[in-house]
Amino acid sequence: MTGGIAVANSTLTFLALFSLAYVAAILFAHRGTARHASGLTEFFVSGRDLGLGTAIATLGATEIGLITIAYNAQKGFNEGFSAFHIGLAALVGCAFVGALGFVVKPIRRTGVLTLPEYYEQRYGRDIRVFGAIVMAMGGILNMGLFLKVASVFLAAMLAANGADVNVNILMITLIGVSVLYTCYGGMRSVIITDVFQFFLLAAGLLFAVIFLTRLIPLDQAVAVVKEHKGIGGFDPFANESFGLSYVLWMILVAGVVSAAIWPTALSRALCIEKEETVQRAYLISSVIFLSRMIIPAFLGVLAFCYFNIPAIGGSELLSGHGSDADLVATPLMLGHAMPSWLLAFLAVAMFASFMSTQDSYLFCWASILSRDVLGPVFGTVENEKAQKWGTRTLIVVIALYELYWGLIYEGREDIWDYLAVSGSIYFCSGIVLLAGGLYWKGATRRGALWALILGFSAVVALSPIKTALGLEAVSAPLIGFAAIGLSLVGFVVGSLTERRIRGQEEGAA
Amino acid sequence: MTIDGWVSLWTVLLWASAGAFGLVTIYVLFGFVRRLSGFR
Repeated sequence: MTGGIAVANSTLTFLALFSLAYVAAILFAHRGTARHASGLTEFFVSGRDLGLGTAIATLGATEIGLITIAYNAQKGFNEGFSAFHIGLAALVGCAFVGALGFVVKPIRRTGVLTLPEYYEQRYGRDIRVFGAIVMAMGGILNMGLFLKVASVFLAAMLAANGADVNVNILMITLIGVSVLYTCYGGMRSVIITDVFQFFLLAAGLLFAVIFLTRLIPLDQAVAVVKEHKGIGGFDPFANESFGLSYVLWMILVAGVVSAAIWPTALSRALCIEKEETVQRAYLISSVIFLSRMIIPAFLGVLAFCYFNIPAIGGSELLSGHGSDADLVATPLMLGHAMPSWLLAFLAVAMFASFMSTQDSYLFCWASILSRDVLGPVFGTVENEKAQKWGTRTLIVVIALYELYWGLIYEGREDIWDYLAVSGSIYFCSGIVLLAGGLYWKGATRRGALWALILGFSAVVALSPIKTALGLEAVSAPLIGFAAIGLSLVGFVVGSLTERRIRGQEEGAA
Repeated sequence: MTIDGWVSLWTVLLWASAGAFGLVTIYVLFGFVRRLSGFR
């Protein structure tokens, strides 16, 4: 007992030291923020002055959150090595975007500050407002579980080491901190913080892998997965939870959509100084898109082994966690296996990864609602003061919603599947409107409107709605593909009929 | 593909991703330090 308390005290001491160093680094990084000129471009796209390295870091930090680590670890724990296909799909999708500049290059050329602003350029003001509402709804619903998952993950990690920290209070404090600095400096604050957080979480993840593979060598992990999961633990096409439609869905969701359609990532393309840098940033970042999935999934695989190798003796730790066992297995392993200093460092890296995603998401959805919904409705699109205060207020409102949603949602799907489905509410029509508008001259307002309405059908894939409609047997990827298909058909038919009517009217005139 | 084939694929991908992630991080860090030092 005394030994356990000593370990916990040592962890908390290291945690306090690393946390202080982290806060000092963040304050140091922010010292020059206030010097930058004011203006909407500065606030929304960080003055559009990002170089290659900063662009990669901010993209990486945004896309590797604690939620990313948690859901990939959960997939690795449940599905073994076959979960690695999600990383491969992400690499293929992001490399495709980087190699061709798909969406990211032409959208940067338009010079817009937010994505719905492009909708107005291309389709009209009403589509901007409607599109922004759909975009924000999908995005805010998507981030609803971030806080809850982060709390569970960190609580399990520290508890396994005997250090009882009230993580809910800690998380609320961290949300408060990220709300404060995001409100203060806008996108520049988000990006500066992202760069520091990127270094921290990269080091934390790599240290964890190096340490744990010394404890459970890869050969041993392969043998344990082979024994317990058979071919399904390696072959995603043979795994009952995946299959061909899921793999194709991942290439789209984890690759193309995450890089080129999802606003928190695509907004980085809008911040890059030179148009030619955009493609290079995405091409190099495709490695991060691979790593962000594979490394945490590998930690999940190692956790599965950790609790299934009797000699290690960790199985008791996992008992009593019920349906949350797959989610808490990885943090329990980290807390149980790691030395105090490494655990404390990893915990701070996890805080950093939580905040780097949190700030980007808060800012992204708040700025879209302020600039593209409230702005056009109240005529304040170019009013700097109204835009800044609108964004700041909405950041606070979304943070409060996140606390509330984390408490009430009771879906049964894996976290990653929840994220893919909630995100699809936006991206099923978003991919059609963005790619269609940028690459098809015949696209019109009516096509965009129909695409937005039909793409919203993706909401059916959310677990509680699926159950209510009696559609449990239909997989989320199939519903997603159907929603994109519907949206595309609506886009093409709507555009063609509008052009035909226009042609007839012009002919009659 | 056999289990051994999948194991080989995932092993290569795992170490390649960890190595490449490390290299990208060092590249970004190097650029950041140069910037802080006043070099462009």
